Amino acid sequence: MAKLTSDLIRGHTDTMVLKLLQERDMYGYELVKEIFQRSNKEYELKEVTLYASLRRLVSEKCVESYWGDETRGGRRKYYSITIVGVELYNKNRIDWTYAKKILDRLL
Amino acid sequence: MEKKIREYVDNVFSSYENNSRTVDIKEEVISNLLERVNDLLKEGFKRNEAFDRAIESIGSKEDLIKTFDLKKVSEYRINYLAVLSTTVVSTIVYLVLGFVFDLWNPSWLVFFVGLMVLGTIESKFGVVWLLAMGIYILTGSLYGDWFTGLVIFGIAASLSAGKDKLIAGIWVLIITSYFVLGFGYGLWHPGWLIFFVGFALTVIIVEKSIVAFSWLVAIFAFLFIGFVYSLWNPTWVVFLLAAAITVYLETGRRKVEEETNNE
Repeated sequence: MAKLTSDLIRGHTDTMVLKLLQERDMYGYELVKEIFQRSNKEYELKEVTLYASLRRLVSEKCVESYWGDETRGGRRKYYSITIVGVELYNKNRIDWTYAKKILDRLL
Repeated sequence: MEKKIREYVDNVFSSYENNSRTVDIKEEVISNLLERVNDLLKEGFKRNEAFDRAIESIGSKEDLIKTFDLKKVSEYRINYLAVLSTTVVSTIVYLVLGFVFDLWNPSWLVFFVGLMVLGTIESKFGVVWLLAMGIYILTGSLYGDWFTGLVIFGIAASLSAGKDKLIAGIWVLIITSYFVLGFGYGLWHPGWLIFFVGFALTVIIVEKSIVAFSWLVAIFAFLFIGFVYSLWNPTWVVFLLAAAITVYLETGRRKVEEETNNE
């Protein structure tokens, strides 16, 4: 994938995460995997990009985290979406549809 | 495999602040890595390949540190109480030796010993420094040669550098140059000053701190003025100055740290 394309997609990491978390609470690797699968294995997020996004979302109170109760291997840190997060997702979704419409005309 | 991953992650974060937040971050990174490795193994990758791929999937170490906004802490973090007491004790010993026995030179070596004691207290390689000091004092007093033995501190420093290849490399170079100067040109003295170049470089690479730098400047100033103008007294005052700077900056830093921790 060209750098420009992957940069373009990466710019929407927060919204992707917010969309997925509306389905169920997920942990980091699960989010990366879901994004990879749903992009038909064409787009894979670097974990560090996801961590940055989650950190931002937590600080903006769009997302909350809690530890899973796994006893074996590493403990999973789950993320769940808040009402603020749902609102942000809806707003971003509208913004994207609007931007896409304009870009379609311009490009 | 879990052990290997834990070691890798521990190593990535080793020179950064280690508090409950860091522990959480590491745990999260490790558990995500473990799950990826397990998936890769199921897909049929060999253990080493799975490990390498999983590590690669994180992204760069620098980005990871930047993302979590971790502060770098030195392995040789200075405890200002230790600095202060060592300085005061060294200064008193030095003044007594100077005023009472008129031994301004070479009793400045007490500051060097003080520095080593500090290294012993503060560094996790304390034993290495203690051993180095013991060997140094032993060879010095047995053979009356206080210069050749200095090389042992270079070795100790390069051992303490641990995984930092750049620092270890610098010290190997310093030791080699010292031997060349000493054996080749008979310049054990003042060739030993090259060790301070080593300390300076180490400090600049590891510490990036004003405190450590002020100590280096103090030592350089003291030795320079001492040897060139024979003004061992009252140039020792520079150490008090460095200690003052240390205490002042460290107290400030600790306050800031406490405030951040309270948040």
